[in-house]
Amino acid sequence: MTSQRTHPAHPLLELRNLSISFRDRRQIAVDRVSFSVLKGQTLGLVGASGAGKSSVARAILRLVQADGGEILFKGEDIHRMKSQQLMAARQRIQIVFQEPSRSLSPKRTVAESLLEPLQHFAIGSPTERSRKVKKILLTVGLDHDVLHHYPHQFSTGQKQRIAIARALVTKPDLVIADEAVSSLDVSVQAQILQLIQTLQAEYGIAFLFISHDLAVIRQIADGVAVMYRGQLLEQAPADTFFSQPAHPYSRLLLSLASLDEPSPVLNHQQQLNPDGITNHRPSACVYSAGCAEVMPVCGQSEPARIEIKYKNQNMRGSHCVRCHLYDETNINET
Amino acid sequence: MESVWQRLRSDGYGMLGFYIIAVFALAALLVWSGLLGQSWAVVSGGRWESISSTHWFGTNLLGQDILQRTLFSSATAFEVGLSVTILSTLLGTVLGALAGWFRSSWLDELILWVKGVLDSIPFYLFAAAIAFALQGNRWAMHLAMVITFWTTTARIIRGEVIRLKQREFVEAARAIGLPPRTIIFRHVLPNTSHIVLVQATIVFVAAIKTEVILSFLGLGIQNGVSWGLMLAESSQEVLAGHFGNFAAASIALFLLLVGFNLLADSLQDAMDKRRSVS
Repeated sequence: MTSQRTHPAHPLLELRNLSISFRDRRQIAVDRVSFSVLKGQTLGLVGASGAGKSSVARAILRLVQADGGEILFKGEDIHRMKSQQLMAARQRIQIVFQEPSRSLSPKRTVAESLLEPLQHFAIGSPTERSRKVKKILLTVGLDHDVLHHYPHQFSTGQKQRIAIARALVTKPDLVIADEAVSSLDVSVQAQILQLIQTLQAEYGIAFLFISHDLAVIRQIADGVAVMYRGQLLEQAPADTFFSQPAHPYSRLLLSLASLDEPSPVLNHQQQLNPDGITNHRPSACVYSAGCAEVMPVCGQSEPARIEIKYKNQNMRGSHCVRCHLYDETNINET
Repeated sequence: MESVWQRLRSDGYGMLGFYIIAVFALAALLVWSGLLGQSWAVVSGGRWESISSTHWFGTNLLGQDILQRTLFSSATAFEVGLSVTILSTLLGTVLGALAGWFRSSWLDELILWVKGVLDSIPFYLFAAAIAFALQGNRWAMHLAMVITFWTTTARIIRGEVIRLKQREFVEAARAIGLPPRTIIFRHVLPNTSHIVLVQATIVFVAAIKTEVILSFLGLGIQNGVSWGLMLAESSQEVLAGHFGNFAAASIALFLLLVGFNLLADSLQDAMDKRRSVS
């Protein structure tokens, strides 16, 4: 819409085999992850703590360096952009963090926090900037008499609205919401989710919505991607994912979410893998140790990414899974 | 900042400290503006006169008025304290912030190495070496203190910057591509101000104490008088039973240091309670 580089054939954001490691490559946080986010759509990225979700988010913003793979924003690799191109991309990608009390500078007023991106990207004249700031505050449901208040004068929910306003003030194409509603209590959570959906409908913003809470994902996402120990195990359109999850790990998550208590088990997974370190042998499936449907082949070779074909192919997006259950030779069930 | 001030005002000890410092600071200001303590070098009486209405604290060996000398010395103390505190705090804050932000880079390694070297030199030897190297320049003492005192501030700020760099508001600033200089000065350092302020009061106290010791050793104040020089003079007098210099200098020094310590303590309390970045 604004950029000529927007190509109809390209997804807005596409990750191709993204790998990230820490401590001189001894800790693999993200292992060959590929997924795409379409314009104006919400992709829910699900997984336990330490699965690598936040590392993916930070790599998209270039806060951490990728070791391998590509992050294509409107068809261009973010990690290979020249500074001017990168500046333009940064204006179009914004982030909302989990803890609103930590995501706003404590010593800066709302006006200062919201004006900063506009000043940095040299958007508009000073009067236009302050008009934009007032407008975006109204959009997120705050009055403009809060402009000269400091973050500590607000409730958690209000702070998150301000953080969302800061993310939206540059009119981005993509907003990464990293557990953006997880620290809010249920009623505030519902309000913020409502706000995000309204904004998405109004401005056509795409969201990469990172959460460990499947109930939230079900409410908001058009597509779902599941991560486990740095790998992407499944990506599917939301309705397909919630009706016919393919990967055993996805099925486990869904069965636990239906008990309305997703957190204890995710924590349990975390205990199994406290550091989020992927130390598995590359010749095995990452989930083979915890899988209920483990087969001999799971310990011998790593499953490839397989696209599941359906008889009536009228759904949006493809359904991909990394699991030996779906190898050509293993398809005994339909 | 209002809330810190209000909290400080409700702390009796803190305010006592504040008023003690204010009295000394006022004396120093009056000395600087030429209204007080100007006749510190004038011989106005006999040798070792005792307390009288003309010489409230008596006179010294040369017949100089000890009150005048004590008042002038508080200006000396503030001159040393302020100059050393401002310079070493600036240096420590900037170098600490750079080391913390570029943690594990060559810059961090270099700053930590320099800090390690400076911390391992015995201070009084270092001060003597600087005084010798600068041929008795009157700023040699100030320089020796600035060069060595920034390291503690830098270490504290470095740790704080490393902690704050992980904060989401800093990541948000990095995500829009703000340059490190802007992020450090606009988003990181303002959130260390409470630590900088408390550390500065501690450096101030250290500078005043060190000035006294260096002056006592003859490495300090050259053309003037300070509590340290008065104590050096008194080392002979006390044995002879003349306590004027000794009592005046040590009571003045003690009061000012107590004032600063009371203020530093309650400042720390007032800042801690404030909802800063946790």
